[in-house]
Amino acid sequence: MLAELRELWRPVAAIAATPITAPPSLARGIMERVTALAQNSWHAVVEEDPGVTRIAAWVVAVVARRAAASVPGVTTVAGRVHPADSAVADVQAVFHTPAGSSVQRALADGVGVAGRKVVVRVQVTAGPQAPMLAVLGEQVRRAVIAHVRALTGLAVVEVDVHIDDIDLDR
Amino acid sequence: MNQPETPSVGGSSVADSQAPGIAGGAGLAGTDRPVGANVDGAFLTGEHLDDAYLVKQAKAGSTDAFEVLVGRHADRAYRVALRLTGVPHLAEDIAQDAFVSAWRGIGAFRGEASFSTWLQQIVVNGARQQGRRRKVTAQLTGEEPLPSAEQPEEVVQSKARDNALHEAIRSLPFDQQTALVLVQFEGMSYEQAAQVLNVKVSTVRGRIARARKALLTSLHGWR
Repeated sequence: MLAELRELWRPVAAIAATPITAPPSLARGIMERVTALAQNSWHAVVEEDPGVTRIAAWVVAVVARRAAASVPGVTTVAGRVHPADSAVADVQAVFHTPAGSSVQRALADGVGVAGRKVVVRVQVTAGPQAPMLAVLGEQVRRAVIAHVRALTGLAVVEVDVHIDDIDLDR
Repeated sequence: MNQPETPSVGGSSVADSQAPGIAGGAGLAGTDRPVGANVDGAFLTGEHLDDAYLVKQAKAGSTDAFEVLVGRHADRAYRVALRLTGVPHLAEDIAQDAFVSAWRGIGAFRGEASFSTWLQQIVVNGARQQGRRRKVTAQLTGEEPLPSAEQPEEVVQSKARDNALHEAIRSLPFDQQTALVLVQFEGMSYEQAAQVLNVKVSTVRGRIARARKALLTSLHGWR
C-alpha cells in the first residue's frame, strides 16, 4: 500500500526536485528599483492639521549644503542628514559640491518614518579666506540650523562639522 | 602588523558591529576596488555575512547589503511565485515586487522571524493578490507544436501527466496550494510554513493533507 502510494506520488517528487533558478533579469530589476528608491525616498514628516508635509531628505541636504557653502571660507561641502528620532538608524543623504558642481546622492531605507528633528553632518574644506577653524565650524553650524529651520520647518538638533581639508591654493 | 580599515558596507560604518568586516570598505558585489591579497572571494561578496547583519546594514541604507540578500533569496522567491502562478513573467513580477516591498519596509522589520520567512510572507501575499486580480488562463492559439511522432509514447504521456499535475496543484484552493508548495516543494518544516502563512501548525497539516488527497485523486487518473 505504501509502495503504491510512493509510486503514485513519484511525479510530485520529481517536480519538486526539478531545479528552478530566477532569471538574471530579476536581480537586476530589483536593484534598479531599490537604487532609485534609495536615492529619493527618505523624507521627514511634518504633521499638520489637517494632513502631513513630507520633505525629501535630499531637499534638507540641499538646504544644509547651501547654508554651509554660504559661509565665507568654505570651498567644498559634503555631508549627511538623517532623522534624529527615527527608529531607523543612519538614514542619510550625501551630497558633494566638488569645484562648484552639484551632485546629490541620497541613501535611504525608504520607510519615511521620521519626525521633525534631523541631524546634519557636514564635511567642509576650508579655503584661504577661512577664519580660525573653530570659528568656521561654529559659523557653519549656525548657518545650517538657521537655514534648515527657516526653509523646511524642521528642527536641527545636532550639526556635526568636520573640517576635513584645507585648500590654500584658491 | 597592518590593521584592516574600518569595515563598512555600502559606506555605512560598522565599526561598532560584532560582525566580521569587509576589508577596505570594498563593496559587496561587483566592485573593483583593490583589496588585500589575503581576502578571499566570499569575503568580498558578503557570503560570510549572516542575514541579520545584512538586514541591519540595509536598514542603515546600504543597497550593497540588500543586494547580497537579493542574491541569496531571489531563487526561492521566484520559485515559490512560479509554483503558485505557473507563469514565469508573473512570478518574476511578484518576486521583484516582494523585494522592493521588503526594502521599503525593512525599517519596520523587527527580526522576530528570519528575513527569509518574512520575504516568503510577502511573496505569498503578492501571489494571492495577483491571483485575485487576474485569473490566468492559457489561450490556445492553434499554433502549438503537436507532440512529435518520434517521441516515445511514454515521454509524451509523462509530459502530459506533469502538465496535468501542475494544473491540479494550481487548481487547489490557494491556502492548500501555498502550504503544499512551501512544505512539499520548498522543503520547509510545518513550523516554518506555519510562520510564513501566519497560521497554526495544525492548520498547515490539515491543508497539506487535503491537498495531497486531492492530488492523489488526480494522479490516479494517470496510472
